[in-house]
Amino acid sequence: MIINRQNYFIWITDYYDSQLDDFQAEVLLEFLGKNPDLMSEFEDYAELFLKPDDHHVYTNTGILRTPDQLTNEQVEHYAIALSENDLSENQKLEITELKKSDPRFRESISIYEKIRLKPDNIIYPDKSLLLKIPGRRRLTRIIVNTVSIAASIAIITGLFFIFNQPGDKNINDYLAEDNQPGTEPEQVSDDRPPLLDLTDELPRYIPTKTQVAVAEPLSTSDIIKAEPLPGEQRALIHITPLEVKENISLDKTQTQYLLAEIQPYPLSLPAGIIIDTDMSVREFLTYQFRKQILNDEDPDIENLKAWEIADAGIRGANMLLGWNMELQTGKNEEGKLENISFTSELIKFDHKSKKNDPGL
Amino acid sequence: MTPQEYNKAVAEYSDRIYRFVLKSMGEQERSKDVVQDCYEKLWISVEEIDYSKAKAWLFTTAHNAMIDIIRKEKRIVPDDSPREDIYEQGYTDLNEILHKCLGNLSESWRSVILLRDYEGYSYKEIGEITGQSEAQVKINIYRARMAMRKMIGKLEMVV
Repeated sequence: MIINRQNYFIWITDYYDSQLDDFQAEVLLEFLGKNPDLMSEFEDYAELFLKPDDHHVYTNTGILRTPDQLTNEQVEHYAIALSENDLSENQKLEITELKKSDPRFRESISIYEKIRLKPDNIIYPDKSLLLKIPGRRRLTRIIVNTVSIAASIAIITGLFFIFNQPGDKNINDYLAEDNQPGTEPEQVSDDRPPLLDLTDELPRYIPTKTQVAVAEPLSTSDIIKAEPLPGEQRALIHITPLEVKENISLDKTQTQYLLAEIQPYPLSLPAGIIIDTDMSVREFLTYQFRKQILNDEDPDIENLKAWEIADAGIRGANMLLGWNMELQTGKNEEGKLENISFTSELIKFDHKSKKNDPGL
Repeated sequence: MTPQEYNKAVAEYSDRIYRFVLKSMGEQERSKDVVQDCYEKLWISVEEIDYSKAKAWLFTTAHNAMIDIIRKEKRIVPDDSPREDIYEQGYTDLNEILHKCLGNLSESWRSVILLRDYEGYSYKEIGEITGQSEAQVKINIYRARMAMRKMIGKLEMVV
């Protein structure tokens, strides 16, 4: 910028602010020499700038006030700061001096040094409950994993056999097979009827009204002659083939009695249940699963749901490991599942059922 | 943190945490519950938390749990109470009086005083535990001290 009579004052200001270098300062002074009427203005500027007073320096770097200028609240503030060790060394020395001359400082400092809390001897009484046995966490995890794997295998295996049985048969199917030409029953030495192993196929022998038919009024001995074999092999039951005729059916009492005769071990059928319909192996096991394991008082024979199997697993884990897990279900007015909530000591979650949810 | 270090944290810090919570809340059973919850949470996260940070973590968790409880109950504690009350109850020991005064402080003041006097935490550490800024902690401590002094009155009355 070239100096002229329009901008000279900027140069003067910069000169006193020490913003000009040596060359610029020479340019300014040369300009003022050529314009002596502006020299007085240049000299007047000098008085506008303050200079530090080298002879007046505060020695009290912290408080900067005399005791009579301090309010009671400020005195307390400094006393607290001293007790909290928030002051610099210089400030501490100042306070020490003030303490000698000002009784307020003496009292406040004395009080704030003494009103600090001293810890009570308080013991947490249940400390032993908080302690953990080293390795228990890992052991627990191993047990859980092992039990989970074992339970999964058992469930999958069981489901495989349940749902992969050949087509459901009833008693008439088996009787018809026995009566087919050329399939004469094998005679045993003591002239007893042939043996039929019902151990695995027992539930298939639940008859129906329309499938078992006889020529004459039946008695129990006419239908089945069950004689325990030596060694109490009660699963092997003698069955006398029935002569099948149409339009004759067992009444309800006879049906129930028939069931009682052919089962190797007592079936836990609920009172009042009338076995007058087909019940396949799957249905029978589903019924028993809900009745015995899930403690369902009124079980149905619909296909098992995933959550029911999970519920059974949780109950089993609770029994085996002493845990306290719980699976609760909420149903709507139609009896359909709406949500499932799982609760344990560690986690808790809710799952809302969606339409067509395959898992539920 | 290993299970052994967890047990060490129980041995070393459970009394301190319990004292902090008990002095803050004033009820034994709930204070025990808070401590138990804190250690349960510590155990769940035991593998993620370093032992060197366990103490601060426990105090932070305990403080947050207390705040939750107090907020739920909308418990209101007056900042100051007339100092005459202290003497009317017949306390003569200074520490007893101080603890009585402590109970009359607001929750935020009480916590910072307890952490400062009992545990010797710095302003910064207290701020990390209570979720306050360092400056706010300092202000709260100064105000709490002044409030306690007001409640106590002249020291000659109790010493």
